Amino acid sequence: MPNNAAQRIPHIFLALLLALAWAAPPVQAATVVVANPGEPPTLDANMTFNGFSFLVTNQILETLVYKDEAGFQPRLATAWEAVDERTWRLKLREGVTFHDGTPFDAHAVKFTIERILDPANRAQGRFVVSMIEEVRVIDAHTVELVTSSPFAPLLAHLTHPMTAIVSPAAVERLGEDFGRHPVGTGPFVFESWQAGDQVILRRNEHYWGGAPAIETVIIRTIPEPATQVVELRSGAVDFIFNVSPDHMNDLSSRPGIAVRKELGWGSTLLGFNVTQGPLADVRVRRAIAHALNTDAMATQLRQGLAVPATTGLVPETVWGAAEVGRYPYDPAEARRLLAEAGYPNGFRTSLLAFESPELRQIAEAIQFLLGEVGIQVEVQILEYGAYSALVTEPDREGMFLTTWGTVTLDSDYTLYALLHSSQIPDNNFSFYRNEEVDRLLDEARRNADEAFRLEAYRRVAEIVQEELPIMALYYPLFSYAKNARVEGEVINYSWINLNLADAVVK
Amino acid sequence: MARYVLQRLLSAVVVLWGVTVLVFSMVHATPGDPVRVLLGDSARGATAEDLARLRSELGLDQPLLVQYKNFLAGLLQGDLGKSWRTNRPVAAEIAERLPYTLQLTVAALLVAVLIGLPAGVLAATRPYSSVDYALTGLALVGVSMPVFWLGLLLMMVFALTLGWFPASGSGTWRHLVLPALTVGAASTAFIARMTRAAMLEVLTEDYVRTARAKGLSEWAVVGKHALRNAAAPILTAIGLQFGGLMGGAVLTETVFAWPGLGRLVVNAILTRDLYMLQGSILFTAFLFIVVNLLVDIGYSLLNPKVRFA
Repeated sequence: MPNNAAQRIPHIFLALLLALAWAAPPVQAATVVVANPGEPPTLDANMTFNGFSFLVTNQILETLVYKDEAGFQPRLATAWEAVDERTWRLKLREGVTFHDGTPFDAHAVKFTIERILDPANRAQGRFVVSMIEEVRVIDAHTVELVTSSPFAPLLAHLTHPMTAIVSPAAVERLGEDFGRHPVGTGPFVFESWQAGDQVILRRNEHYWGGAPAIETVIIRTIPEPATQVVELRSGAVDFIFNVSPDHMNDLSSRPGIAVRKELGWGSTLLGFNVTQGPLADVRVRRAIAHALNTDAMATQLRQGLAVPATTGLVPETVWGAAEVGRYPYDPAEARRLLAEAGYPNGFRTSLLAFESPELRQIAEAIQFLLGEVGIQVEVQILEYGAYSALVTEPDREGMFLTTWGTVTLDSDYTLYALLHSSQIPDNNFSFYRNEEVDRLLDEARRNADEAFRLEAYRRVAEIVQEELPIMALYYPLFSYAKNARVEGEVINYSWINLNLADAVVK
Repeated sequence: MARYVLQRLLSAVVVLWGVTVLVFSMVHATPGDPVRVLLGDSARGATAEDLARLRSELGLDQPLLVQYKNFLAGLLQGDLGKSWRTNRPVAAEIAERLPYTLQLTVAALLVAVLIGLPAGVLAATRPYSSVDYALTGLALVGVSMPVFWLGLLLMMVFALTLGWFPASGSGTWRHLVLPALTVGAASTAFIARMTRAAMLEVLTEDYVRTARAKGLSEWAVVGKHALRNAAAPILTAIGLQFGGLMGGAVLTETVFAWPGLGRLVVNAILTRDLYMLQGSILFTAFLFIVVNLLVDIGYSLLNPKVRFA
């Protein structure tokens, strides 16, 4: 039997709570609050390459097409066809207006793409559309995109959030200020942006897909994960993203909170400079692959927020991913291969990573596991600028960790950048040169035939698995937690693709 | 007096110039390619020519001395440059954040003075009593508690469990309470300790004994005679705290998602936003120097001896 005082304490708290309830603003049912893990540098999607920006711009601006599990889906473009190997014809959605009342048409598409292409604008993601040579306006709702050379993944590139179509009238009126007052066609209309604090959006009553049920979306910048969790639990925030394994476990057991984790477009990769030192020997690289227990990394270190890599450098969600299997965890085989390569007692090497809690954890695991087979690893964790300066040095001997998102969901995006010899050293940090891989990647870019392209990427994946210039350790799952009162949100492949157009608040 | 102020002003300018040199060399001596950091994810896919073009557009291919000269020339015209990241003038970004940092700093200082000063006086009037030990102990905890941890603790108790205040963000006075308590904690403790020490010294003076002998009430003795004479060192402590608070707010602003200058600096560091970094550090240093100048002048008003030292 509990004594009276102990029983009374909760009542005192309850009374206090009630007394203070007047001070808490009532939560509006049709307002959804989203935590953005960082401050957007700008809300001009065309000029940035920043995920914090895209989370916001994806609510306001729309791309021509998007991609989900079933393939390409219409958004502002309703139909598309390849006219010849360098020309795509797109039919545009009719009856769509921008938030400023001006009509969406072929001119707006031409304006947006040329705006990104204009070198004077210094668009950070210009390379996403740099293969487009000309945008032809055929009629008010038809455009043709002409590429400088045949470019099969073009449609995939048009799913990228940075290619979202902007209102030409608004850009001309606002100039550089457009990034503070974006005007698009999306389900939500920009209302205000309090720098460092929050962006407020109202629903687009004239949205072509029907006005959303949610009236107001507030996207708050909350950098600290622990704060995000407190805000979610206190009911002040409805969505938080990239939830750490610890927080996931904690939140999953709390009533009123739903957690999700899904395979997205990301890969966590371990690469080797294949031109220097012992790592130039493919047997050594294979030995390393055998020495790494990638299963344990995914299931134990990442606590289930990752799946072991089985389809080469990109996860199976990415078009063109090919099953290649894995090097089984086998330290004995690793030692045998090292001895065969002339390093029976191992060797010393380095591992470079950029600052991130995840990569730090993985780097330490690799250091330990390779130590078990005699390879002494010096781990260097640097901020990104220092990392990229070092990793692009041709004569740096050692390994590197990196993360990659195949944001266009087409294998070309990742494989070309990481493996093609023309990408040394900008993206090909392995300094890997293989004529057959170069040829396959070039052909897969030029040839629009899907079967041909799939075969080319399958072959590239095989060669890469064989020669190991770089290997996927695992594919991270993207995770988010939400207040269960919100339902119907769609999040494809990454948190930045949050779509609340059809979401409802119970 | 005018001469003294002029002297202090001149030395402030010299200090500020020193800061520009320090800031500039720190920013440029850090290893790494700023252009790549600037591009971030989009550096993946960018060609060497893209990088070189951007580097030259930003003037980063010029000799450091030339870059410093340009930086200083801009500075003299009040131009802090444009943020690479947001493509907006650094001065505009700072202006947007400054009110929040000032709000937080002033509120924290208010917390520190309103709690620290009475606590220090109380402890001094009952030296080596249990009240004194409790207060000094609490002050010790306050000084040593990491801001980050204290912030989360307050958040858990007052936002999550009790629901009295919002956990983070800005907009109303209620948003200000937890961050102000967090930032103010260390200063409260510091001011309490300084007050206690200054008061203890003064309370043994002859004029205090005389005042007591006259039969004045304890309140009048402590409040009028003692505290006024102990004011100078206490004021200095408060002034110093003001500068320190602005620095201490960096972490607190991150924890509480408070849109102040501190987070602007952190962001600039993380993204290697050179001009933003230079500008915001320089501006913070400027504020610090101005506050110290004001404290010095205030001190000299309180204590004329200082002017001729």
